[in-house]
Amino acid sequence: MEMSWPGTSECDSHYISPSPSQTLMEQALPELPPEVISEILSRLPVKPLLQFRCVSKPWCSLIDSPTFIKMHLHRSIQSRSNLSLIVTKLNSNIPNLLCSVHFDKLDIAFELYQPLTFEKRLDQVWNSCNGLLCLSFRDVEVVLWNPSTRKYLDLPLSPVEIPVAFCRMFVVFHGVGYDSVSDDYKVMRITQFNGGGFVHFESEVRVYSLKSDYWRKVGDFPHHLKLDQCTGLLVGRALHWSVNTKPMLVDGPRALIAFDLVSEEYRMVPLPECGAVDFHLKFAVLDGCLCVLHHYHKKGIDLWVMKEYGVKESWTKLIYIENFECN
Amino acid sequence: MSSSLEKNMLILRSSDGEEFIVPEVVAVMSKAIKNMVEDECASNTIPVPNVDANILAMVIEFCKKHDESEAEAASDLKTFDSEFVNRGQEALYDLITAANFRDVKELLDALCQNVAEMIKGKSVHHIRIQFLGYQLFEILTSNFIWNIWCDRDFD
Repeated sequence: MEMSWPGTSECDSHYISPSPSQTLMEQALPELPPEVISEILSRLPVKPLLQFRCVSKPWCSLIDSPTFIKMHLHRSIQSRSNLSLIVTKLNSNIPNLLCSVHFDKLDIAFELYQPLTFEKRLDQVWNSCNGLLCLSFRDVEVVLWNPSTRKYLDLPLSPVEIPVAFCRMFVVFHGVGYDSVSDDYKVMRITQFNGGGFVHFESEVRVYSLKSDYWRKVGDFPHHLKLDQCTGLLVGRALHWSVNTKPMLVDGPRALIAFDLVSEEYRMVPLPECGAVDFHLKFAVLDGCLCVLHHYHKKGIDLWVMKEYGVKESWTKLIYIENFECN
Repeated sequence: MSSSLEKNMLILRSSDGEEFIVPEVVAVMSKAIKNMVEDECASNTIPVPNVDANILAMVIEFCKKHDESEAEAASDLKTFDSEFVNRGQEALYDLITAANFRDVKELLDALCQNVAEMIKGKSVHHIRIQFLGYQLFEILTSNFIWNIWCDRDFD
């Protein structure tokens, strides 16, 4: 396409590429509009961002504002940046020492100073949501923790009311999620009381909302949770739990129950159909989609992904790994 | 001039009065221009105030490349972007202002990403000088007062 240049001779020499010595640092930028400043800052990793809080008061209040935090989170999710793995360090003197591994540098692990250390020992890391981890100590003491900013919040205690008939044992499960409708973080707690032989069981479910700072009782969990796979999987706005549909059988048929954090209702998630029966089932989340691992004993694993949430036909076999052994 | 103008072409006039004939698809990458075109309040010539001819030429170059290379590999475009935004202080500032005012999302994204990369490892002190225009004098004096305060004899 043609471009007309009425004053070609004049404007040729104005903006030639900068000379090497003219770096950005030598000169002050004239003040940029605040929306551009937040555009620029939202592209920074967390560490420089926290450092730049002390540049000036306006910068500090910008970086601390909920709007900016959401913008930064949104951009990180969109560009898949600021991702890290949280792993437990083995062979250390401190029990359950956690480490963080950045996705960009997978060979370097940082030890994390997690809020539950000595007098309160970390028992379990449940799951994470938008960079927040849900940790627990002695079943009912729950902490929401942001490892990037090292800030944490002790949730108020909510004692478990044990029904008279079930004084023998109970297990507690936690999971954190985000309710996009009311813009609120919620923690779900399922307490399952087991009678003899796992045949009789009851449950109590409470949901903590960060905005109201209160544990509220919701409808009972209608299925028997598997003890060996006790983490809640967060996909979209629902937490997913692996259950045993025939609790009297130790290795009974599995199902996946979703708890919608917005409507606070339960529903069953359809699983992929496959002919074989002799396999172990594991659930996970991959790229925001639910996935199922079929582990055939001494053969290999199938990885299925539910591409469209809640649609049974969208289950797709992604990969088969031969001779794969896992515990 | 307008009589000889091809269909789907627009004339953009810079703040210093130069005119550029550009395809409409390229011009509407600026949301501000797009809105003007859609509302049909644009005559043959669209004035682009606050943006001079040199900067406008650069913005048009960027938009043309992005319009043409839709089918091209994303990595090529990324290389072009990073080379395009690698400019001196003054041009960078003018481009950011133009992209922000004219609402050219792709350009603003590339420029902001560039500045973010630049300031990632810099100290707070550098950021203050660069973004808040703190003059060296102010810093020296404030440090001087601070030093006097710290060195005071408290006996």
